[in-house]
Amino acid sequence: MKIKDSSEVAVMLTGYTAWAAVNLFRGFSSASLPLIALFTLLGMSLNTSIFPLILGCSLLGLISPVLMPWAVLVSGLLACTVGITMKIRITGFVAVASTLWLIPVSSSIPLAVVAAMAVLIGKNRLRYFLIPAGFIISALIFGLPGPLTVKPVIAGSTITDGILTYDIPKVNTSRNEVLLPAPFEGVWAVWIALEAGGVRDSIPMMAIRLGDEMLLLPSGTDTLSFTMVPGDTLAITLMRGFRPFNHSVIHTTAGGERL
Amino acid sequence: MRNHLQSLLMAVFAVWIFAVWRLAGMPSPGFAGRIIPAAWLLAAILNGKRQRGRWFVPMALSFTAGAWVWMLYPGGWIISAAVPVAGLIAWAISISDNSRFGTIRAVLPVLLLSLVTAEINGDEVRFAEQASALSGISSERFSEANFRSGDISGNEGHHTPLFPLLIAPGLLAGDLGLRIIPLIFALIGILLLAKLTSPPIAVVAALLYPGFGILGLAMTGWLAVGLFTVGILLPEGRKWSAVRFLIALILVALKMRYVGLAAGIFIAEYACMPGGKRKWITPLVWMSAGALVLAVDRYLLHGMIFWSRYGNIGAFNLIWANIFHRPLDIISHAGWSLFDPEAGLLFRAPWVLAAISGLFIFSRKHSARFKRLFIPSIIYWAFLIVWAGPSWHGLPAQVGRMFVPMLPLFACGLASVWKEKETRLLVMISIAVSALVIASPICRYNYADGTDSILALLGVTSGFSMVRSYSVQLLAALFLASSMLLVLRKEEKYRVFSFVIIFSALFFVSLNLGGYEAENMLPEIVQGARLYPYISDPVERYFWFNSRERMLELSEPGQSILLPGVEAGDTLSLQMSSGGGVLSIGAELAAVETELMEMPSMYMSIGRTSRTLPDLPENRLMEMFSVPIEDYDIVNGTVRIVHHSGPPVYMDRIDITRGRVLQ
Repeated sequence: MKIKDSSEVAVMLTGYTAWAAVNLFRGFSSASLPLIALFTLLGMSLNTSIFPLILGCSLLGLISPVLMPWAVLVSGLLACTVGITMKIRITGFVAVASTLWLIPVSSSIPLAVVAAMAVLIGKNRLRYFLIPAGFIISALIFGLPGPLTVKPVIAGSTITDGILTYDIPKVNTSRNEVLLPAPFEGVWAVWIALEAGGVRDSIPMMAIRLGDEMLLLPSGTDTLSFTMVPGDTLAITLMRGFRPFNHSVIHTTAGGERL
Repeated sequence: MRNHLQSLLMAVFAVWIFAVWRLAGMPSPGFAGRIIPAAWLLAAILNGKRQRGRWFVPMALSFTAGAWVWMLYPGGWIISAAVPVAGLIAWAISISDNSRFGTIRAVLPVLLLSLVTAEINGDEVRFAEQASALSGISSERFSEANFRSGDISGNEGHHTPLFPLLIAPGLLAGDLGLRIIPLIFALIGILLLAKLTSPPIAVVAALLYPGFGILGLAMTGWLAVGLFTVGILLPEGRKWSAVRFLIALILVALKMRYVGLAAGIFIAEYACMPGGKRKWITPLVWMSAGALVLAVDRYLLHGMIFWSRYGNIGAFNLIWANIFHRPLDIISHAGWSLFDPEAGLLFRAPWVLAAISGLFIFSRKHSARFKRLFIPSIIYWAFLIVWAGPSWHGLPAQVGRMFVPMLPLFACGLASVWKEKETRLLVMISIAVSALVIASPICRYNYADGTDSILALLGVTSGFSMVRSYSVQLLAALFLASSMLLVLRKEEKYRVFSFVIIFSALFFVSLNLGGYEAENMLPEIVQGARLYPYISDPVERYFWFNSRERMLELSEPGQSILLPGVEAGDTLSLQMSSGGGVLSIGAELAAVETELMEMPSMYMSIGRTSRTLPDLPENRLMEMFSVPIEDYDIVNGTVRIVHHSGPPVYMDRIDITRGRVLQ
C-alpha cells in the first residue's frame, strides 16, 4: 500500500480530531493523551506491514476508553519492535512511555525496558525476539501488569416475589474482587456456591468477607450461607496474584430469600 | 525442507500460542487455549509451500504483547485471543487459489473454529427434531419434538419440511451430526461463489459477516446461497431457464422467507429475455390474475386455498398494512437493517460498502449477470422488510443471517474493487469483527434491546439503536455511508477521507448522550430490579405498539436505584409508566399514573373482531416526570429511588438536568 506523505499527515490529523472529539464529548481526561501518540503511529505506519494491527488498536482505543491502554501498549510495543524506520520506533516508544506514565500500570518496568531496547537495537532479526523474550522474563520473574481498575466489581441482582438472585461475573487475576450488596430493605438468607480452581496447590485462594467475619477457602467447591441486612456487603476476593501456568478463577452463583 | 519453512513457522507459532496462553495464565486454557493453537497447527499442515504474508510477524508479536497486558482489563484476553484468529482469516484469504481444494483448504481452520465455538441454537434443534420426526432417524436429544412459540403443533413446526429432510442423514452420526449436511452445503456454496468470482472473494464471503454468522450451522442460508449461485452460473437458453425456475421453487420450499428471492429470479429471467418494453404486459396480466385469485380466496372463500401463516388468512393484510398504513416505519426498518449496531448489515460487515461501490463497475461490465443478481437480492431484502416489519433481523438467532442470501451479489461487487486500498481497509475491519466473535462466541447473538454484544465486550454502551429509533441518527448514519460510497467511487486524492468517515462512524456509535437507559444501568446503580419483559427474547416485544425497549420494573421491597452524580438544585427527569404505583425518590413520594393507550385505529380496522388493549405494562403510555432534588434527598452522594406502594412502576430512562426545569 503506497500512499503519499500527505496522506500520512491526513490520517494523523483525522486521529487528532477524533481525540479532540472524544475529549469534548466525554470530558477531558489525561488518560486519553496516549491516543495522540497512537494516531501519530497510525499515520506513520500507513505503508507498512504493521498498519492493519495499528489500525485495529486505534479503532479499539477510540471506541472503548477501558481498552485504550491495552490498545496503545500493544501497538506501541509492536511499532518499537517491527517499525522499519527510527521515527516509527521512537513514536512507538512514546506511545508505550506515555501510557505507563499517565496510567498507573503495575509491573510496567519490563514493558518500558523492552520498548527502549527495541528502539535502540539496530538489527531487525534481533529485535523480533525482544517481545517474546521480554514476555517470558517478565512472566517468570517480574509478573505481568495487573488490572488497571482497583475498584471492585459489583454483582447485579434481581428480586422476584421475595427471591433474590445474583448475577456474578467470574473472578480472576484481571478482576480480583466482586461485591454482593444486600438488598436495601428486609433481612435476607443468602447462599453462595463457589467453584474455584486453576491453581496447582491447596493453599487458600479466596477470601469470603461479610462485615467483620472472613473465611479463607482453598480451591474446590463450597456452598455457604449467611444472613444479610441492609448495608451488608459480601465480598469474594481472589487472593492469588499472577503466577505462570496458573489460571486462577472463581465461578460463583448466589441467591437468597427474604426472611 | 526450505520449501516448507513457512509451514514450519506456522506450526511453531501454534505451539507459541499454546505456551504463551499458559505462561500468561489467560482464562479458558482448556478450550480457547487449545482450539486456537490447534487451528493454527491445521493451517500449518494445509499451507503446503505457500508463502506467508508480511503481516505474520507483526501479528505474532501483537498476540504476544496482547497476552503480556491481558490483565489490564477483564476482556483483554479475548482481544488478545482474537489477534491470532484474525491472522488465520487473513491467511485464508491470502492462500486461497484456483488449485484443487485451494478454497476449501483455506476456509477449513476458521470453519472448524466457528463450528466448535457456535452453540447449537434453538432453530437447529427444531430442524433436528423435525428431521428426526420426518425421517424416523432418531437421535438421543432430538427424538422428541417439542412445541415452540409459533408452531402449529408439537409435531408440525413453523419451518417447511424440505431442509429438515435434507439434513436428516446427518443424524445417523448422532446428535452433533445435525451439522454434517449443512456443512457440506456451506462448502459447496463457497466453491460456487469461488467459481462466480474468485477464491479470495469466496473466502471473504464465507469468513466475514454476514456469511460467517451461520457458516456450517444447521441453517438454510448457505444452501440458499448455493442454489442462487447455481442459477447465476447456468448458461443462457430456454432449458436453463426451466432449471432456474425449478431453483426458485426449491428456494420457496426451503424457507418461505426466500419467496422474494424466488420472485426476483423469475423477474430477472424475464428481464434477460429478448423483447422490448411490451414484453412486461404479459407478466403484469398474470400478476393481476394472481392478485385476483388471492382476493377471491381471502374474501369469498375465507382462505380455503392459500392457508398461509398456519391458517391465518389475514396474513396478507400484514403486507397491506405495512406498505399503506405505516410506510414511514417500513422506511425506518430498511434504514436500521443497514445501520443498527446489533443487527444491521454494515456494522458487522463494513466490507459490504466496498462491495456496493463495486456493483456500479460490475453492472457496466456484466449487465445480464448483474440483473440476475441484483433483482432477486433487492426483492428479497424489500420483501424481508415489508413481510417481517420490525422483526426483519430475526434475533435472537445469529446476527446477520437474514442477509446471507444476498452474498453472491456482494461477492461480485467486491470482486470489482478487490485491489483498491479502501476495500482492503474495510475488509480488515470486518476480519476483526469475525475474529472477536470466534474469541467470544456470545457475540454471535443479540436481543434487539439496544445493547450490542460486541460493544458490551468492549465496555461501550451506544445510544444508537433501532429500538430507540431516532430518525436523526439514522440520517447521520446514512450520510456517513453515502460519503464512504462517494469516496470509494472518486479519484485517489479523495480516498484518505475514508479514515475520517471510519473514525467518525466509530465515534458516533460509541457516543452515549448521557442519561441512563433501563437496559444499560449498571449494578452499581440498580439492585434487585428486573427488566420487563423478564426474558430477553425480542419475540416478546414484536407486537408492542408503543416502544420495543425493555423497562426496569420496580415492584417490591429491596429493589432500588441508587443514582450517583446528583446535586442539590438538579432536576431528575424520569420516563415512567404505571397504573398508580408510588415511588420514593430521595425523601419525596411520587405517584405515577399514566394512561392506558388506545389501540391505533389502523389496527382496529384489521380483522373482524373489536379489539382493546389489555392493561399490560407495554400498553401504558410512558410519561416524563420531573423531580427537583433538594439537599435532604441526597444520602452519601446518591439519590435513592425505591418502590413505595401500589402497582409496579416501569422506568425507561432517567436524565439528570443541572438546575431547575420549568414545568
